[in-house]
Amino acid sequence: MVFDEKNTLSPLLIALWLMLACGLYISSIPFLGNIRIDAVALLIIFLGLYRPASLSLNLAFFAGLMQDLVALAPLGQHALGLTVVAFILHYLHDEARLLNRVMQWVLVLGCLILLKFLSSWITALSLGILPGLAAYGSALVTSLLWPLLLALALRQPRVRRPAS
Amino acid sequence: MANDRHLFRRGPASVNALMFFAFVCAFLLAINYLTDWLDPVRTRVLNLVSPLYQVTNIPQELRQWGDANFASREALLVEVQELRDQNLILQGRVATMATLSAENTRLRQLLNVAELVEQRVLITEMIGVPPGSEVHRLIIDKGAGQSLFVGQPVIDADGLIGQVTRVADDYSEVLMITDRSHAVPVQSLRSGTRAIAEGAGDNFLRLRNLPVTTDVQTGDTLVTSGLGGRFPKGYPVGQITSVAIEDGSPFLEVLVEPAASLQTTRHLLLLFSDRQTRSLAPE
Repeated sequence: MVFDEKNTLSPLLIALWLMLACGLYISSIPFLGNIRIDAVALLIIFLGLYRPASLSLNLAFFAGLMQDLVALAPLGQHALGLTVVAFILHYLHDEARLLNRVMQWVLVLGCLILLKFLSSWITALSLGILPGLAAYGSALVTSLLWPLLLALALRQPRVRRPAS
Repeated sequence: MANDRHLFRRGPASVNALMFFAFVCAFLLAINYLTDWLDPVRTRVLNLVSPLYQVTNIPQELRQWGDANFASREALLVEVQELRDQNLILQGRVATMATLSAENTRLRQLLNVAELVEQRVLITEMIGVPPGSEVHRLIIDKGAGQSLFVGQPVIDADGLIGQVTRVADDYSEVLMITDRSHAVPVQSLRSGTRAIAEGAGDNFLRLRNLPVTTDVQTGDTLVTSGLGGRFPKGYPVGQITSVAIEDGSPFLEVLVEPAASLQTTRHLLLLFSDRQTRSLAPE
């Protein structure tokens, strides 16, 4: 996929990615225990940074509701966090793309921690107890996949040179 | 112009839009926590999403399949020998249990205890664990079609797992005893002390509101007390791992490690209790 800020992605393609991300989110990864890869959040952050024309608050909210449904979580728990992150990225994407890869990874980790923080507080409001630091393990593991996602999504297509 | 046809068109990310979505989320969460209006929807969603859990559980199943199929012959022989030994011990216990059961029935008749509770079980398999470390739940492959009901106790070979909290057509959701919203009445096998074991998250339970003079010790085995009528009496719940007294507090801080293998177990048992009332007339 070649980076082009103004070019929007097809809704069908986004819907397909979203379904795949939801599937990955509920997948149990061997040896990781309860830690899950928050692929939906990663997708929203990627769209927010590299395809901002494709990411609206509506899409982020809808993605969050889908994530709530597949995770059998209360409706709104993930939707709120993803909408807030999409809102922040709307104002940050220009500066964020100028950052080097390490700083960009830190930004992604920050977004994932913010998502987890909001989700944890919503859980705390119902259960009365705030989850411990171990709950943020999934944010760290998910952020480690950011370089891989960039490498796959932003790879340049091979152009065959005409035979001279 | 082409952008106008897009389903998720990008609009201005205004603060008003953010506030609107935040309000919608707060409204949905309030409905979820304060009412049961969304329960039918959530049951329907459980039915739709559970097959997806079965698919996404394939990596774990592949790993278990690999562990089972690529084990060395020596390891398998050792395992077979261990299972034979275990079987021998269990057969011995069953023989003792038959005598004890008959003796128990005679004693009940002598005491004129009218109610006998017999347990019928159904084997089920765990097909997935919903994400979220804060909430301890499982999805199992049995549902209303197999006469499951909300509140049904679930155990494994070692002890109590939890109870069924949502039943769909072919799948159900189980809330584990370690969940923070779960509580189970327990009794110490050593001293007979009764208490309520609440889930503490992080694979532990906690006994709350026990006065400092209560007779509990590290190593005590806790079983279900049967009070409340939801869980049958006598199933192992866990073992006390620490008893502490906080400064200035009139209560003990007691931590309990669950007896059941909550993190690793795959095959579970659902308990059905058939209450049979017998009129025991003295002879």
